[in-house]
Amino acid sequence: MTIAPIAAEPAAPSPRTLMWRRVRAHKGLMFGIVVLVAMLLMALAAPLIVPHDPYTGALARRRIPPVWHAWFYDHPRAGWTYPLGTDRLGRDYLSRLIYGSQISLLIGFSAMFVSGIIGSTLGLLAGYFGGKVDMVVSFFVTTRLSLPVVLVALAVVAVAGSSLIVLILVLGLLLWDRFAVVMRAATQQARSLDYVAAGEAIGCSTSYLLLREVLPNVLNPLIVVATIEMANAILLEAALSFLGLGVRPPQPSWGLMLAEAKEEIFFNTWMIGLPGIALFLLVLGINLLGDGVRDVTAPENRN
Amino acid sequence: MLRFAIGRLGIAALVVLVVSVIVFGLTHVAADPARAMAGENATAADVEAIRKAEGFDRPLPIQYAEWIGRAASGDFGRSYLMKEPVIGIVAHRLPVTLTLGVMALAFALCVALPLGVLAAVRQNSLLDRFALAVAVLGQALPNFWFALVLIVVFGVWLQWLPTSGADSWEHMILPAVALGYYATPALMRLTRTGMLEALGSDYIRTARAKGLLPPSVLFKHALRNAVIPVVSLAAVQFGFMLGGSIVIEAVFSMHGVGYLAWESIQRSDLPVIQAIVLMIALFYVVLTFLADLLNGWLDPRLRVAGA
Repeated sequence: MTIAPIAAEPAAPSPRTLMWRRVRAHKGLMFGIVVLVAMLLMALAAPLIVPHDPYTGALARRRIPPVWHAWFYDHPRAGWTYPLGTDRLGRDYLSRLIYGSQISLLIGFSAMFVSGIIGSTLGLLAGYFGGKVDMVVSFFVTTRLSLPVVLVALAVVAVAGSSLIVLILVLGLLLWDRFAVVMRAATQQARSLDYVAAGEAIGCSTSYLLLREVLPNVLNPLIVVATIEMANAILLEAALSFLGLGVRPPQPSWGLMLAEAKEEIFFNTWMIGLPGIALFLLVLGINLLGDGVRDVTAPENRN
Repeated sequence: MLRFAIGRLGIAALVVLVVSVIVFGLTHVAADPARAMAGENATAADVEAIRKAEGFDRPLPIQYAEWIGRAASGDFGRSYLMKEPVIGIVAHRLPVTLTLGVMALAFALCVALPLGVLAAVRQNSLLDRFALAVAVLGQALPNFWFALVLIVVFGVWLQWLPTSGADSWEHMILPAVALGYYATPALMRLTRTGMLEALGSDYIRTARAKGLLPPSVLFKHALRNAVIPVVSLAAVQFGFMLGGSIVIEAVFSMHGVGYLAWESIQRSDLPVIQAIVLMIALFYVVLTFLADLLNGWLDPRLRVAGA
């Protein structure tokens, strides 16, 4: 009697391969990754890649239009020396845009980090303990939501002075509400899972359960919220700088560049276009990254 | 229902109270009211004299109690710069901001509701994808930049609409679009989800089986149910718009409450800032309270779960 050889099954792709396939098939996610990585590289390599110093201008080369004005309008001053033109002080626009990405990304990441720590701590506690803790946290969230963000941020920055640290802290302290709400819901869900109950039964400490069992399970929604709040922080910094109470001149914040370009609105429209497009691209990339992570990690939630 | 309403009212009142403490703390601990009142060129002796005369040297809780007591009856003190009662200045500027907010919300709903309904009816169609693309792109547009782009296109190039001031309804169109578009993606998505849910439900199948006309099924039965959460989101968004109009008012030089707040912040006119922040918070709290009541009234399940 012989045993029939078992036909070798084709090796099933590992979960990691499957995930990578889904990531690559998701156009929005790929776009988001490419934009964010490109912006990060640009920000990190700024001193190496800028064609000119972003802070020194010269009267002789003020308001040179971007290179395409040479192609389409035969503008005599436009050319490749200043591919994206110069501003009203004669500073190279491209170099300022590149340095501007540093400010946006720094504020975006740091504010997201601060608000993430505050919000997810509150959300975890509310979702895990429920009852009175939950009520108190919901109350905090409601109170926070009733404070107008731009107004309060402006007022605080006006009083405390506008440095990067102040901006990061103010935005971080104002943008944690979504973290708390989403983390609360996710934790409530994770808390009802069997292994958390098992952990409780064998006497694991609460902090162990929260950090080692619950937190890894709510990481995906956390990442999604983090992208939303990072985008929010970047938009808010730009708005504050635009209103003159954010990043100080001569720093090349995109919002500040737009404030300076506003006076040129009738004559040099491109000055308004470029920083706005940079902001729009960065925020779009971050948003698509967040949407993509949500889709890829929870296909059943695709809607 | 009454218990639910009273519970919500209690929370709302507590929120306003806490916000008032934050606002007061912000202007009295973080900033120095005596120095702000004295102005930039005042000597140290002047500042001290004002501190004594205005009672800024007394314990903070006493000052707070006095301030909140007066604020409750509508007296927010006098503006440091304009030397007039704050309440009058704010009331004078309020119509511009409220008109702007209402028009912005109207614009948002006019875009979001039809697009949301159509996207749900023709799910996964070209139109559905178009609506999604509009939502994704709209969410990434910085509102003050969008405002500038609107000015360039419709004010400078086409010269169709005025670009600054708030004198006529035509002045309001661009600002309303710039303020309102930001609320459209969320409202549209909610309409779409609600419609999809409603269209898949049993009562819609019954209505269809009875032979009701498709428009009647769509508007009388499905939309009515789908629109409930949209109404409460719209109320919340309206609250956010009043707070966010500061940027738009600054771009279009509209002398509403937001512009007033911006000016007051730059000149540290503390009583005006206090009044505006507190007022906007109050608006938001009242709006969410009404939205909660509406939801609780329409959906009895919430009264138990939310109370």
